[in-house]
Amino acid sequence: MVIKMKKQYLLFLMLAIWCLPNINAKTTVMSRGGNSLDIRSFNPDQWAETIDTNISYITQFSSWFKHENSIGKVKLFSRYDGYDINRKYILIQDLYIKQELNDVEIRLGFQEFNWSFLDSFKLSDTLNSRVMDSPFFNPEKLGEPVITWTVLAEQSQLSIIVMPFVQLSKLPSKGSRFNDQPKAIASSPPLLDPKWFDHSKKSEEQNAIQYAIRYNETLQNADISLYFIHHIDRIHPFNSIEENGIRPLFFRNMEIGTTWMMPQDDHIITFESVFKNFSESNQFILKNGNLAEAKGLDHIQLGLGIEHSEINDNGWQIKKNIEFKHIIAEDRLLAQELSIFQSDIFFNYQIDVNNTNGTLLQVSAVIDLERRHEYIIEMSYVERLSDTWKIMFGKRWLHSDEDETNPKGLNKFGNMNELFISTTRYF
Amino acid sequence: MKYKWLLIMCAFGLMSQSIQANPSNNKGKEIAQIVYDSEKGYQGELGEIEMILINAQDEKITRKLTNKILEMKDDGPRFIIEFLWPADVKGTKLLTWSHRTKADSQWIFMPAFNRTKRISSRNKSGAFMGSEFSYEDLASTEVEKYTYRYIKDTLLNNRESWLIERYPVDKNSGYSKHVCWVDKEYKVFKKVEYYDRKSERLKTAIFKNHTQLHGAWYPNTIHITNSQTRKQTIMNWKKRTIKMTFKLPTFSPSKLNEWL
Repeated sequence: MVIKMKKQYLLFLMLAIWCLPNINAKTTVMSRGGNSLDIRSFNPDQWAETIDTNISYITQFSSWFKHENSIGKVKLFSRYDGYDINRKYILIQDLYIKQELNDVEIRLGFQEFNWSFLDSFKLSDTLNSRVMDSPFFNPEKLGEPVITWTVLAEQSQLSIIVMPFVQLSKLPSKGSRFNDQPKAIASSPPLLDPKWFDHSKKSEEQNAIQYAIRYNETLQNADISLYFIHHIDRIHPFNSIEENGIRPLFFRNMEIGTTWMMPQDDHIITFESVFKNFSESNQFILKNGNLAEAKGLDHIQLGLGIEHSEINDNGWQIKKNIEFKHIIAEDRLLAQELSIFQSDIFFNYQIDVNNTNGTLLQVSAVIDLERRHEYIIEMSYVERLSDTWKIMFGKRWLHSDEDETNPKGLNKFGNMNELFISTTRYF
Repeated sequence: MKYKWLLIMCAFGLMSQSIQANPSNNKGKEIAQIVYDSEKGYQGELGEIEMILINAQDEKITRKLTNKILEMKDDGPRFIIEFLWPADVKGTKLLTWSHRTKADSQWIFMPAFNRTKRISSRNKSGAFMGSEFSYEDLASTEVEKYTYRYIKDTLLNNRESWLIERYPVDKNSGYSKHVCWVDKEYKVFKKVEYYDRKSERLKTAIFKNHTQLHGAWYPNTIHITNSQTRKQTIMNWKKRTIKMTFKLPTFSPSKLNEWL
């Protein structure tokens, strides 16, 4: 597996070398980035194995190169956590070359896709794998290896995306507080490397072809998009209990979705829907030789958002946002296992002081409409300290009942209160 | 009988007022049209701008940005403003599709979230990145977006000027009116006073250091002073090129996340 992964990266390294001779004085280069010290501290829980404090050093860098009709982009994210070995990684979020031919663009490389218009429950951001040990609503994503062909028109574009390799999500370590495995089990068997299954194919083969088609248009005053995806789902793992531990498995699915966003006076209305169909059951052999069979849960996800903003007499911008997500599935218990936000409402109140310090105060809450005892409340404060320094800190309260054997929804995390602080120096 | 004469006199009074008002309105709109027409034909504009924010204590912060404007045949222009400095907002972009009659469409791209968001109409009166420019100020001033009133011919800095008032048609505008001094020779705005919804003077913009490009005059400096907060913003054009050729899809919201 390691050798094949290297081949995958080698292909793109060769592409970069092929481009290097074209970089000369006529090439335009733009770069940005930052170094951050990121601290999070949780209230201690009853498990000795869990890591209650993380201190990590983050570097982010992105650069664009343009030479005539060729454009290249590099966007890297690295995290070095002194307390959790699983939080030491370098992510290639974008690394691609794009060739423009009149109204057609061809793109080759790793790419991050952000299709969702919602601030919280981003239903349509499913193409990229992600670091599961990252914030619920703003996850760190892994660039997806893609070949993209895009036709551009005045107010619309059509993209055909082929994803030749499967890149799996990075799961939390056993000791991470974001590990959503049952705590009672997690304290004994280890978490095994995740695998994907494509009916009879398995992850060692590394050649499951995936593809997507997306059409988006600005129609009158609305931004709309329609998309179709046929890929290995990397958002909803199926946990297989094997002899040596728990192994997360990912299966192929088909998604048909739409996004719609429109301003209406002082509101912005957003609607998203996606139908996910895991067409066939997957058969796989467990380590102990037993044949197992599993199938993902077919379901529909609906999301609705209404954002209202106004400028008060002090010139402050007050933004209020309500978003709602619901999973329509026959089995409500399975829906609750599928996602921690299966029927939830999100409120956000944000004050942007509109000053040169970029002062921003935010209070948000997520309430589970089905499991009423579960909620998340978060307060955060952001301020620019200078042209290059910024600080952000806050507290998150996550409340749910403990369920050690068969956790669902936010039960997977128990009561998890978190203090976070991050200082960044941009360059 | 006495009342009948009074009614006739009132009617004459109203008629004479409307006869006086109509030419004034037409002349105000004609002047705005002259300014608008003088700028037409630039096709595409690329500018490098320095924006200096000065607070009430005279402390200064400098920001650098670029603007790209694409002239459209049957509608208002489309333009992108992009921040190059300070580092924390580097790459932030504002895309505007100006429309002649309906409300403009605006999107903002924030690189920290790698996401493009719409801006609602009400937001347009908000400050743009902490400056004294509102999102609305950064949109283009299509003639159809205002009604006009000609006030008088006047002198501004010893230059022959027209003084007109214009009233935003958009109910979401943060202004009740603009009082504008238009240079007769350069056919450009030299000074604009902005009045808030309570009809109190909010800020004053001075346009200066004009240069001529392909026959049209462009200000190289816009200096805005907020009368209520005493804050100031100065926008200096370091470089401006017109007759640029841009591809139309460059000005689409889905392309905002691309830097070049």
